[in-house]
Amino acid sequence: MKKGIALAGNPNSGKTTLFNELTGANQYVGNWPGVTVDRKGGQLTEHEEIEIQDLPGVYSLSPYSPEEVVSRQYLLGEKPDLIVNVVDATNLERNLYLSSQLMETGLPMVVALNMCDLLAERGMKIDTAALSRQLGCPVVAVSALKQTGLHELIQLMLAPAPAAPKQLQYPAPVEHAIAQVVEEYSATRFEAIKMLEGEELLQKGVSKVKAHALEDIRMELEASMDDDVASIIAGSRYDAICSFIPEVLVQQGRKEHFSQRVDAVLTHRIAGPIIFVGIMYAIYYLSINTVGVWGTDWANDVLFGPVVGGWLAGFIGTEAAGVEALTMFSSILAMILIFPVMLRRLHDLNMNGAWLYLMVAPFLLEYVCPHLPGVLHTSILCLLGLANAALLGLCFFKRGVKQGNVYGSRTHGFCKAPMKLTGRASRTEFISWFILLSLIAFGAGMLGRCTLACSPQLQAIIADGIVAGVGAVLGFLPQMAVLFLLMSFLEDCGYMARVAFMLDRIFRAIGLSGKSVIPLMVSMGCGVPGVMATRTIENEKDRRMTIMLTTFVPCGAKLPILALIGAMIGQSATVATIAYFTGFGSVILGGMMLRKMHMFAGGYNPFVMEMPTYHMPQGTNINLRAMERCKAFVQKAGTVIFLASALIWTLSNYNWKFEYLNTAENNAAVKHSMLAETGRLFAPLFSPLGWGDWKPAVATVTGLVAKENVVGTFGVLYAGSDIPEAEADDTLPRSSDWLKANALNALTMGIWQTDAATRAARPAEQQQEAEDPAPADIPSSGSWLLDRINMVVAYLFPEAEQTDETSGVASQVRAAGAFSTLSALSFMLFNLLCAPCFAACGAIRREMNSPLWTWFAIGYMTLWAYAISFITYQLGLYCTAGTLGTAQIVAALLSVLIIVQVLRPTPNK
Amino acid sequence: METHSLRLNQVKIGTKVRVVRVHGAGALRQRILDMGVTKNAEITVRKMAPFGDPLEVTVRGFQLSLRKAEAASIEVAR
Repeated sequence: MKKGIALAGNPNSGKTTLFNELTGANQYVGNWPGVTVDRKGGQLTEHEEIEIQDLPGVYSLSPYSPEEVVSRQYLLGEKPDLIVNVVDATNLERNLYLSSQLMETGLPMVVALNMCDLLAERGMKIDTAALSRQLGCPVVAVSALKQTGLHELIQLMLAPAPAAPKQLQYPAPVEHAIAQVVEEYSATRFEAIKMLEGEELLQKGVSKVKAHALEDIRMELEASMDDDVASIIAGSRYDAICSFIPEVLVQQGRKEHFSQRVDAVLTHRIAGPIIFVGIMYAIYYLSINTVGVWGTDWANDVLFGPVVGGWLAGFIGTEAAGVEALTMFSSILAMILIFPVMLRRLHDLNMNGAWLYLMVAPFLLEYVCPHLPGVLHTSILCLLGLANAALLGLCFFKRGVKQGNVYGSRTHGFCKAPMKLTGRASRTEFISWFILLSLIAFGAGMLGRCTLACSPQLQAIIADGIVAGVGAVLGFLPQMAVLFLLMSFLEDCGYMARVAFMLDRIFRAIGLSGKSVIPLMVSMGCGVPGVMATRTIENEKDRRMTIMLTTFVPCGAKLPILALIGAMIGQSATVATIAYFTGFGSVILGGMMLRKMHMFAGGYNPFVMEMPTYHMPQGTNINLRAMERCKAFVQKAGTVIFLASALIWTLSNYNWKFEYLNTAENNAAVKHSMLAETGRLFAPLFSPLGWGDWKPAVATVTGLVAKENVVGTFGVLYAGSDIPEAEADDTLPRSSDWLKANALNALTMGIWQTDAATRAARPAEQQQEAEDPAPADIPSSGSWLLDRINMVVAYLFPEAEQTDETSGVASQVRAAGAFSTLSALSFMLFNLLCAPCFAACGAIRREMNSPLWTWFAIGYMTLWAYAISFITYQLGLYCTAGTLGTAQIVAALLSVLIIVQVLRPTPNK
Repeated sequence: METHSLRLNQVKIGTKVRVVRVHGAGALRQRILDMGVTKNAEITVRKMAPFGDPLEVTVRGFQLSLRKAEAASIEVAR
């Protein structure tokens, strides 16, 4: 017989930390199941018969917010055998307010008094025996963070359920009214109180006559207390709690705690926003400019270059890979395969911090050591070697810790997925997997000497189609990992609430809330983590709106498009300015428009929000969360981009008769491919935007894989265009300035460089890049923000921009005469605003958790992009050439429609 | 008469007040009540956000942020 136990408590009371520790973090994380909030289930370690439910944090059991509904339905509907009420000891009054309602449900209850250690730091102490007397249920002092008191709590969970707790006594008129309702409707005390409060949910079954009787009781109560029922009851609860607080809370030393002093600086009127910008910059700098990019560069230049590429060529090609590449391949594969089981073994040894070492050691080897003088280099290598040997020795020979481990003492069976990150691994399990996986990795590495000499077609589809696609995804991963770690840290320590607090005013004006700011900022670097950062927005409408708007922000991968169009028109800075204005303008207008649509309207989102106290986040928590997110990213976005790049490769390399075109060797053949044919089919759709040719249409489609592909595709498709040799040679290097201007390009260049078609189209440029690593005209400061500033400066001082006038691809496209200034602009706007790249679409799909909403979001973005490009092109035609026809009138009507939608008052709902 | 009563959004920063009554209706009001802003509760207005809207107050020993519009439904007395 399974025993159900519910963990209930206020948000931020440490429920999830406790849950992870009780269940050994064996949770199956139900990411937003259904549509609303998650309720996680897990089993108590070593006692699988006990099922623990981690309910979403609530302040009350009223049926208003989705969290409250989920918690309430579970407690009242499924009637767990025991409620473990997690109470934040530093916030006793408000936490006991929820307890008073939980007590009324009549279910057996145990209070887990969390964060007692924090309370002690403030010079206070809670008398658990007195509290237990007052509440009539067992009270255990625990610290989920420091793992104290867990043993006692588990004993209580295993013991037969205690008697139902006693009820708090309210003032006489309230008790009288409750008694009347209980008698009249044969309701429980909980139902009676909720009926008095006027909840419709419980009144449905009540007949009209009886409803009148209820109304009478309420009127009588309101008359006797001179207030309305809801506040009488809330007040009575708090008064009842306050009456015994002095007995329970001892040594009340009132000192301003640490949190408030920190807050005085971090949310200061002037210093606050400055610090916020600084923190955001630091996050960018670490994840996008430095650490993340190092990892990404390594993945693209080393891992997917000589290592995997060489291995693949040796495996299915004809040229056996070198020993060095194969050794590296097998050791990297072995490291990846063994990492999860190693992590679990470290949990078993209670050495959770060691994961950091596992992450840092390769980084030291790869980036720091080569730059050090010889002696230091050797000594660090020796140290790392010793540390590795020591770690392995411990993993192989040390017994696991049976008691007091964060992850409990249960081990997985041998056959339980070796890729599992949570839980523990015993010595035997670790040794077995270590040997087995090493052998697998070694064997896989040896395949690199097979030289199977498969058909070139198969080689091409694997190397250019699949490995290029997977490489493009995995190339994002180091950046993601750093970003997720830092974001998890900010979330855990309590700073996010302050950011929302500071910026709420600004974002409310455009229909979003203060919490939308982080995703938008992150999206300037890359839309994928931007979409994922929306997780911190609890309100569902706000979250969905933010997801729909956040990819409008021009991300790093869209910069090459700006560069291309800028070079084509000859006004790079103006184009960049237009792009940024349109991007952020779309967020603002989109916010104002969406807020007025039926599905987002109404439901005023209150900002009555608790500001949590700052605390040092727990390393394991952050680590687990970041790793879960990385795993999810690889799984979900990975499958989408994998399929999409394979599909586009196939479409561009075969014609309708499924004849292989081999575009790698014959660029011109692409115009016979299925992709080109399909492009021709859809091209008329884009002619109202001014670019109804099949080539831009195809470029738009390939841009869905990664936005820089637009430039690459142009390079391929317009390669035949007649251009003066000299001009091309003269101008080629300049486009690389733009490509270097953003570190993110370097990472997304992965797909570009491995894409044989584009590689063939741009050999001269790459050669130039290699020869001239630091171009002078745009200082490659390595700083992402500075480059943006440079763009603004270049705009203000046009002379500085002269050198960047044209680029190779741009001159080819210009020579083909396919674009006018207006149609180029409209093309750019469409590509900036329409559906984001597949990786971002995958992220949207994941965060929306609903195919319908995903398609709605993508459809909305594409429609908006179409409308904006259409208006730009057609009204532009009217302004420049004086053309006036149906299209211009439609465009004018469309813009009026948008203005009306933006300005009309929000409908009441 | 209601127009003359003091509301939380009119209180100077740093002052301590006592809740007289919570106006408004529905989910928002219930939320305010649930957070401990009930009759006779003591509230200290801590600070205003950098751009002047949400307020930060201390009630029942914790920090609460709420918008001015929401604070306006809370009637207080010194």
